[in-house]
Amino acid sequence: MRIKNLIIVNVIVSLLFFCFFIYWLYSPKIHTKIAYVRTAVLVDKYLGTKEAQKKFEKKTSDWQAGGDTLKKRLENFIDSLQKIGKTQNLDKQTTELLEKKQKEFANYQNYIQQNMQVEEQKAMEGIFKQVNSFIEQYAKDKGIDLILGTTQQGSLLYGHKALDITDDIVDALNKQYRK
Amino acid sequence: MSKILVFFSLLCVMGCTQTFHSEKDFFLWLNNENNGLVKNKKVDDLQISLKYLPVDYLVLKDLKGNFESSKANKLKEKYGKGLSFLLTFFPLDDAKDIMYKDLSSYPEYTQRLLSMQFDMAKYIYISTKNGEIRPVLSTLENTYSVTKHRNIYIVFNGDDAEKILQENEIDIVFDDEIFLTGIHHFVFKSRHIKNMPHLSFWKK
Repeated sequence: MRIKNLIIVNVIVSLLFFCFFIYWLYSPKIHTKIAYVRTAVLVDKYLGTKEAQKKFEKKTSDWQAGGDTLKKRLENFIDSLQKIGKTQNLDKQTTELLEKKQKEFANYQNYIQQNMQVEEQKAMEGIFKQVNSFIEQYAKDKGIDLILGTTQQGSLLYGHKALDITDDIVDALNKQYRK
Repeated sequence: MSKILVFFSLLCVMGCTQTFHSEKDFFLWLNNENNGLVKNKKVDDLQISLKYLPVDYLVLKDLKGNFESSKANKLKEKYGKGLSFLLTFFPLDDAKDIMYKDLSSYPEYTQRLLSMQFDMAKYIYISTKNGEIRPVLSTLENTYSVTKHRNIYIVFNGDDAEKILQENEIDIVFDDEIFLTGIHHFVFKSRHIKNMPHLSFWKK
């Protein structure tokens, strides 16, 4: 009887081991290393962004100065007409001149608006290319399989703080910026 | 005791002062990033490389194997007045010519080519405490589309070069309006340029 019990226990234990072995053999063994980055913070703290912003502000202020000059010329012209009491019933030549100056100013304003958008896009394109290339290399070097980026639209709803590598990336990215 | 110290000091100085006895050694040394004369940036599928071109390198290139001492000295004097760099755009994908990267039309290609030929001084400069120093010369090497990469020679004025080398670091900024990869800083140590080892093989 005792021997019979022992055999049953042995069989059960062996079966359990066998099942465990089969499970181990066929269970998925990919241990994915995941991290996330707070994208807005990363881009904001990146030295490249700050420098690109400075450059953009300088360009826009130069353009704005050009616009201010045209505006001033237009205002001066209108002032000079008011001084001589010539604000209505203008002759053809004066009307044409006034329209020309107004058109010049409006065209320049449009030009500034369009150029500002193009320049901003170009600046952002450069920043994102640099950041993305760096993150790709960083992930390869650190053996990270997946790096998620949080956005204000909420593409990542929750992430444990231990998986947040924003500060590490900012440090490493800024270190290699001036190298 | 003092004799031993002097001997060891001399040994150290001799050990640190490197000279090259063949072109191959020289180029290997020059292209080794650890020696501080080449800086690389990889962005998107593009590698931007900036290499300091020592006077000896420029002389060697002009001599074309004809190592004549008097000629070499004249060239040394000529090139010694400036500070030269080689800016190279390499495609990380070897199959593609870098000139066509992200382009969709012929006018865009022409614009890029013209920018690389004539506008480089707009995009590259040395950043110093007192402002920006622009190059006096830039030349796009004509490769007739045989290579996938492109080289641009950049030269800074000799008077500026003296001022530049007084700083500990030379911060060369390339604002990439050609491939739109943003602003890049290539920071060289002045000591690497000043302590550049010399060539000995052309004096043979």
